[in-house]
Amino acid sequence: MIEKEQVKHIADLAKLSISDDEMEKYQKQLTDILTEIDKIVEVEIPEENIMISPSDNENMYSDDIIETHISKSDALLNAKHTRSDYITVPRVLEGEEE
Amino acid sequence: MTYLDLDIKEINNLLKEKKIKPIDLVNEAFEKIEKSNLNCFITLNKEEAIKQAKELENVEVDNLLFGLPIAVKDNILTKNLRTTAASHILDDFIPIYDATVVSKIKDKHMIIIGKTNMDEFAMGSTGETSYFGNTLNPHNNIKIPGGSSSGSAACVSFLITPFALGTDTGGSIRQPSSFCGIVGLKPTYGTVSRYGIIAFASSLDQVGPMTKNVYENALLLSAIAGCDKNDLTSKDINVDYMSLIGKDINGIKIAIPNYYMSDAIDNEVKDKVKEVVEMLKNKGAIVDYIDINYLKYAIPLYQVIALGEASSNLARYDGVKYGLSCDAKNIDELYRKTRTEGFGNEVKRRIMIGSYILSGKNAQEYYYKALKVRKAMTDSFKEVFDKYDLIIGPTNTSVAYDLGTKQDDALKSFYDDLLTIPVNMAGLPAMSLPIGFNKDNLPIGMHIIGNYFKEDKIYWLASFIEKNLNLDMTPKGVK
Repeated sequence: MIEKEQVKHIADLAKLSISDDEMEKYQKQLTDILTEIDKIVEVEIPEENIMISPSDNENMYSDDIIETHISKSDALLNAKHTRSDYITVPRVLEGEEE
Repeated sequence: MTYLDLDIKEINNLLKEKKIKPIDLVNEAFEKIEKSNLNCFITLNKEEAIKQAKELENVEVDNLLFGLPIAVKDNILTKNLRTTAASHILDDFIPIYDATVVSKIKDKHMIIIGKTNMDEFAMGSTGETSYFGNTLNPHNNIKIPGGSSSGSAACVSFLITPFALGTDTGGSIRQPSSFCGIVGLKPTYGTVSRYGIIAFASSLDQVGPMTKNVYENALLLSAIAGCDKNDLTSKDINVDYMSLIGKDINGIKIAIPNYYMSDAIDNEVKDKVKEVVEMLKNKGAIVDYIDINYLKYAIPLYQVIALGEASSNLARYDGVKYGLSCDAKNIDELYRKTRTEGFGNEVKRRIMIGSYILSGKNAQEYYYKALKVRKAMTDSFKEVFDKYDLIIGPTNTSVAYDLGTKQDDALKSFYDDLLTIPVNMAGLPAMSLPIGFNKDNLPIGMHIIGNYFKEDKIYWLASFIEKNLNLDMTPKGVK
């Protein structure tokens, strides 16, 4: 079973918080999946080639023509916090509160 | 009088002869939704569908799909029509553009009835991870419909709409098609544009047609396939998907992987597949049992590739640009609170695993190794297609099981996809075709896997089996 600290670390990587109530459940479930995944390490592969995508398309180049895709108002339509043409977010930099 | 259970050529003639109007079909679809009570839809498009149907009264009937109702899985963007991916984090999201597949079905004058229920972000194999509650299986209301394209499968099975679109990352079209007794195809990777699909695992995702018969499946695939400048993995193939439908199969070469008929597979499912194999042999098919290397690693392989890609794709849900946005004092708290409240358990589990295996030295140990195994497994499939036209077997390890089974088992949803995952890994096309019922009247699906961009051969064999079995897969009491 993986440690509670490691579950916290994994949740941190995914920007998620785990409550104390959920800890035991995730400890078991993540352990189960990671144990399964470990099987991949043991596979013996004769070759070193990799496959990232099934697609064998070559690069496709677009003509250098300006096109309008999404208007500013459309782009802001689903944002919860906006001011004029911008999306606003809470404080990003750490430091003294004003 | 109902029309939506008729062959679409008959419906097309009735439309051409003005004996019925598109609005009759739309009204019938909405009446059936009321009657069905299956929770197939997350959002209905009633007002717009009625408006569109009335507008079509003045348009010439120019193709077989004209005026026909279609249901669209809720991870496919529809402009001005709410699209949630069955997640709380997107439950008020209104797309500002159409997915390319949606533009294509609109070009054919098809009418979108609504957005179908699904597992959250297409992660699940039962339909039960939806934020909006699970869909019911039309054949038996205590059974799962399969997933993740649960609503699309149940909707076509109940004859609400003749057509639905689903997506398939590890079996999400084929598995529910099998459990609901319909025809579902995952096309070759690159056949259909992914532009406007809410991404789960970008190197595995494909959109595909879900229909009640083989011909209509090929017709819908013809409508949605093709190169799109907005998806650089898409391709123009120019295959006539109809060309082999109804042709004799004498001399066709078919392989059955031993892995697909192992002890892990339900006996009734295997027996039904064997019955079909005997029939095919009698009709002149050459059938061999073969081995394909690396298939037994499909599940850990999928967990690394699919969850790695998912963790990256789902990083965009940050409470800033769209979707749920929780109150927070700083940006890190905004991310955390929004994602913790917005994602369900299955999704959280998967993105945690994905983030972990891509972090630090794990990337080399797990992810890079998985890319090698993926290549080796794909090469094994290619060797089979040097000698055979098609690979067949069961679509799933079992028939539909009870709702609520093993919901806390983190591995269950992966093991459900044991036989479908390898196809996505290789990027091959594959169909689930109904071949009968088990003793409890639950549908059994046959898997037909083709070589790259050889969907025409899948339709060839599928149409032959369909004609010879001549089954009525409609759930009891629906007609």
